Amino acid sequence: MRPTVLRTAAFGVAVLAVLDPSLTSERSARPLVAVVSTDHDVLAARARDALDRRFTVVRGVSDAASATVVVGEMPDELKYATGPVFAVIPARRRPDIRIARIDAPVSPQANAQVTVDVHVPVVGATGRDLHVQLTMDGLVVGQKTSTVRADSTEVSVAIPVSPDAGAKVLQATARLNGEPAADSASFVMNVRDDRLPVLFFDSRPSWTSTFARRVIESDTRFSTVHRVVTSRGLSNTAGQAPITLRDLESTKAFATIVVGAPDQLSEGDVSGLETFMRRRGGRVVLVMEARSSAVLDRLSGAADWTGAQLAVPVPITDAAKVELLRARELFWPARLPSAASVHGLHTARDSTEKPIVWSVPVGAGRLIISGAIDAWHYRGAGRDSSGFDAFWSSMIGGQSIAAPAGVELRISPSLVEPGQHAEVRVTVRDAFLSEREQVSARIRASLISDRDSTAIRLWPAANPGVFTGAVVAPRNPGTYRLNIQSGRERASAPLVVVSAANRPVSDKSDLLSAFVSSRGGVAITENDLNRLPSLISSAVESVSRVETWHPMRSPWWIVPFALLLGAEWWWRRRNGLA
Amino acid sequence: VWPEALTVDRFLAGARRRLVLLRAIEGAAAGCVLGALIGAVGGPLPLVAFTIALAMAVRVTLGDRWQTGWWKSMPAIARQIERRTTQGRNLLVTAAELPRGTRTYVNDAVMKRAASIADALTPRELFPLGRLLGALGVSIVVLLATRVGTVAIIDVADRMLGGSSSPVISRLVFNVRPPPYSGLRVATLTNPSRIEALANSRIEVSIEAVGATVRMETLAGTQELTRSADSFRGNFVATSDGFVAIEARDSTGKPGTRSLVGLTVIEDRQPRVALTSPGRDLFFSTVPATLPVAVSADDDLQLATLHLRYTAVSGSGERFTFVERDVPMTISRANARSWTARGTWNLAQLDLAPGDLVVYRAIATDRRPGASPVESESYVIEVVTPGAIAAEGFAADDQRDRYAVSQQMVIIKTERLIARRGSMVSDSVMEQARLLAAEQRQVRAEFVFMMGGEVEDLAAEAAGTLQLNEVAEAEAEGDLLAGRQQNRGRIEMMRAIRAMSRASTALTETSLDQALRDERSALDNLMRAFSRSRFILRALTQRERIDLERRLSGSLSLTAGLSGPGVEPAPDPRIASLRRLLSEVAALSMADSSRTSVTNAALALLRADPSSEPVRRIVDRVQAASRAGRVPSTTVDSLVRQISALLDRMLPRAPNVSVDIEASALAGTLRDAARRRVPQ
Repeated sequence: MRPTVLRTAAFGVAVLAVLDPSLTSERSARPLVAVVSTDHDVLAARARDALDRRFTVVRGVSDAASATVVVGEMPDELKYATGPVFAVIPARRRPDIRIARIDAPVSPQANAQVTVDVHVPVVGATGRDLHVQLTMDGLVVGQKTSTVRADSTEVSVAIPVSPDAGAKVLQATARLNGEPAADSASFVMNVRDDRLPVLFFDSRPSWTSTFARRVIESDTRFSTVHRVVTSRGLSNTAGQAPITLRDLESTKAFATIVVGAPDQLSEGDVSGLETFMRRRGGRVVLVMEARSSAVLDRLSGAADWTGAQLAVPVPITDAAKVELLRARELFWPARLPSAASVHGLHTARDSTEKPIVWSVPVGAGRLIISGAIDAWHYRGAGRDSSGFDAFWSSMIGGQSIAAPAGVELRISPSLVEPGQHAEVRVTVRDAFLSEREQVSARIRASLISDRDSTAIRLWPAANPGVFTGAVVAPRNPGTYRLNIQSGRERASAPLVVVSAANRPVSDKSDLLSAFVSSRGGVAITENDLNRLPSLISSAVESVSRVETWHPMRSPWWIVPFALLLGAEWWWRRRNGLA
Repeated sequence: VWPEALTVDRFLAGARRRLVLLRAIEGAAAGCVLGALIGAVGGPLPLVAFTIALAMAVRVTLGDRWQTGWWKSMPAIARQIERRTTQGRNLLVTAAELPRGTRTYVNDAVMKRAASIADALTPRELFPLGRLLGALGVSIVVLLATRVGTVAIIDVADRMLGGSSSPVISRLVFNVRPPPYSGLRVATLTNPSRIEALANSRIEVSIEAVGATVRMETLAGTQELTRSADSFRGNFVATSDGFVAIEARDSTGKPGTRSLVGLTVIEDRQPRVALTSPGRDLFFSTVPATLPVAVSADDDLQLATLHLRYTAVSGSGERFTFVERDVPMTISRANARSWTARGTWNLAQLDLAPGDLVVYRAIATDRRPGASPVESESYVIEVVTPGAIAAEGFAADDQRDRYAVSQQMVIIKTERLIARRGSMVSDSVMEQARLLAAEQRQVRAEFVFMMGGEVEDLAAEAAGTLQLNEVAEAEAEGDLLAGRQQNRGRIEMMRAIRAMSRASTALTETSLDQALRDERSALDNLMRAFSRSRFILRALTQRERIDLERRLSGSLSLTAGLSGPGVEPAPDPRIASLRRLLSEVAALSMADSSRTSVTNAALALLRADPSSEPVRRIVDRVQAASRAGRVPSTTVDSLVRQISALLDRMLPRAPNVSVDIEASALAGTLRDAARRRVPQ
């Protein structure tokens, strides 16, 4: 090779370096797959290993990922995932138990028996005994044992407790007979010691209303006021009973108004009741007496009433056919209004069901109508007895509790670990239910501990009278109270801070399956992990991309340049030219 | 074996027995100490007993040198003897080791000397038991102390160390002395958890206690017991369920632990007496001369008297004369608690006339002083005219369904006749229909009599007209205007009677289908008339006529202004007591509660509901737990569950609902929207 050629070649390289030419090529790229896991690290590692050969795997949710794999529970940030989403559901141990849900009133009253329903999904423990124990403030207050009937089932155990007033931390522990491992979950119950205000207003003396009132008057959960109009201009009263039902200001103090002989109500009274339900969220119970009126029908939406006098008393049951009342004289509408709920029905011989006790929403309140006219007759003990007392106590109690207070406060969750956020939602009733255009509401929120008080900032929400915010759990475990004040109305709820909060963990695999299915993926179990790469490959389109290459931008062009110049120098040296 | 050797062997065997006994005592003493340690950490009694037995067995088996079979070697026994005495001079060991089969001079000499030494010694002197028994006694005391409980130890220690004796009750003795009339014996109860006594029993209390005074509290009050020689004594009369709380106090008034004993008072049941014959109301048009009667009675303790008493009533209106006498009877006493009596009642002596009434009942008393006599159900003998007997039925409201049944029977017969009509000749149908019409009229007549005022209608019907009596209707207008017929029983009854009239007419005309419709209409009206919200004004006999002057009367204005405070029922004191006890028992597990406060809470509960068996059971358990000193957590949990279960039974069930004002408002808005879209 002549030195000129070498020199020219080196010069050419230098020229190319100056010109920086570009080359284009088309390549197929390795898809990027994001693997997300909150609490199953080992299984997530296995999933990454399985995917590593075909895909570029990253941890956590990535906008650039072609597909996302969720291992275990569904994290909140998954909604930001792009591309198809796959789920790997961990296989359950056998036997396995988990407290999925605890049903109990959040804010029951003292002097009442509260039923705590603990729901435990059980797998692989057919025929074994499941012990569920309930502790309150560390003391065992109830326990029950239930035999597991199927291989995969949910066992529900109802344990009654009678808490006294205050914030109570209840912990449910479930354990299979002979198994050392147990699952436990805690929750907070804010037991109230106030009474539910109830007004009985009888337009004329009414047997049913009178006996229902006697039931409520003997129940320590209620504060009862009544007015019975005995004749024109004459009435018997107890407490500060309003003269009429027209004025909301005189009725808004009550959670529930029970009206006896409602067919005697004037149009103004019925209008007042409607205002009470719409703007107070109150509950109205109409104890019918074999007749209605046009104004009542307008309020309830019912029409075509039918009455029957039967030869023998018949049971009035709930939907599960559990007897609630017994009566011979019944009164019901031929057609229930829309959105009505039936609380008590009579099943006739031809299997048609007559709604005897039913309710409809009216604004934020509720209108309950009872057509069990002579149910009071079968309230006593003996062969013809029915659950008259229990029914009215439960009905009026339940409705009164559901009637909102002046300020409603909700903390979720109320059992937190130090530093954890809890969402706060406050509803100022009068502002929320106001029908005016311009509504204003002011609230003041503070978190109270034994030692100090911290102001909490809450923000107005979209709806008038609703405020939301978050409270960060203090570092010191203990029971704190979040106090809300709006004018003269106050509300308070506990926030219990514990070092480790075990809350019920529900099985969301169905939800997860539905979610990934909606995102073009599938949910597989841990045992099918080796199918995951092929599933992702079939779901993800192979991406070919055109790549532009600037070879002279690589420092390696120096190497051929130096080699050419070196060879040229060596040739000249050998030939004695240099 | 020569005699000297026999003497030596017998001596050695005795010494061996003594050594075995010593080792056993040593083992028992050590076992007791170990058992005390085990008991102090909460070990159960069987484990303690096993430990003692094991220590004895180990000590006896292994002996001094911790070798098994030590008792087999006689030379070893002899060496132990030699260590205890200088008289042996090793001859006993030598004699024990000599072979017994060969007699030599030396052997004879040694054995002879050893035998003489053995004669001079006794195992009891060589191995005395005194010190060992003392050690055993001490260890037993230690063991018992741990079994008695830490409370007692602390009390004893307090007394020994502090020098002052804290008040302690050691023994409660109750003599339950039933009232003399009962004939029951005195019962003596020692340290009971509960006393059962007949009402009005005198309960004598004898308390052995360390303390200056002893106070006894019952529901009736508190009293200081009187100190006698070695006890405190008092008494009270058991009148109602309750408790006896005994509390010792020292000279400064500081109370000790309170002992609580439940008290159940069994009431003396009243006698039961029944008229077994005739045992029913009798209606005579002709009074028989005699009537056999029989009475039976029983009592839980003793019957005192039994007789049959009658009251003869004669007269009319409200002017009656009453004569009250007993019927002579012969009493048979099976025992003190169960009597029967029989007799023949001479009714002829009473000179009963039509319209007279005799009320008779049996009367018994028991031996309880001041007890009121107990009467059986009263029956009547009524002398009636022959026609009046039939009227007995419709005077009684409780037989009201009979009328509906009668009308129902007419309907059934009509239906049957309609069904057979096709297969019968027309004359027979007509005949049957007329018979039914007669039956329908009879039923109608019953109701007309019952209403007591529509005789005019009967007359009208008899005259062949079925028009309304306009005068009567006009008179009833006043009732209608006054709202008195808001209760529609009378109206419904009148409609029923008229429907019966129409049915009767239709039957007479052999119009069976129309008759059936009218009969059913009558039945419907009857059912409405007899429903619960209505009442029937019925005719009253002369004897039943209401004397209006004796009625309370008033004006409507008196009902004005009846007002009172709103009703807020006070919480049940039992629930408050149960909650208090619950918190005290719960505090036991955290050592935050003293035994005194737990006992006081139990006392408050017993005071709130002394007759409740579940309450008594809880109080008994709480008492036992508080006496035991350290209360295991399982016991506390069990007590908490038991108290909680009782609370659950007393409280109403809270509905599982929550407040969601936004969801409620949304539901209401949706319904409003639906109503606007589909007008209802």
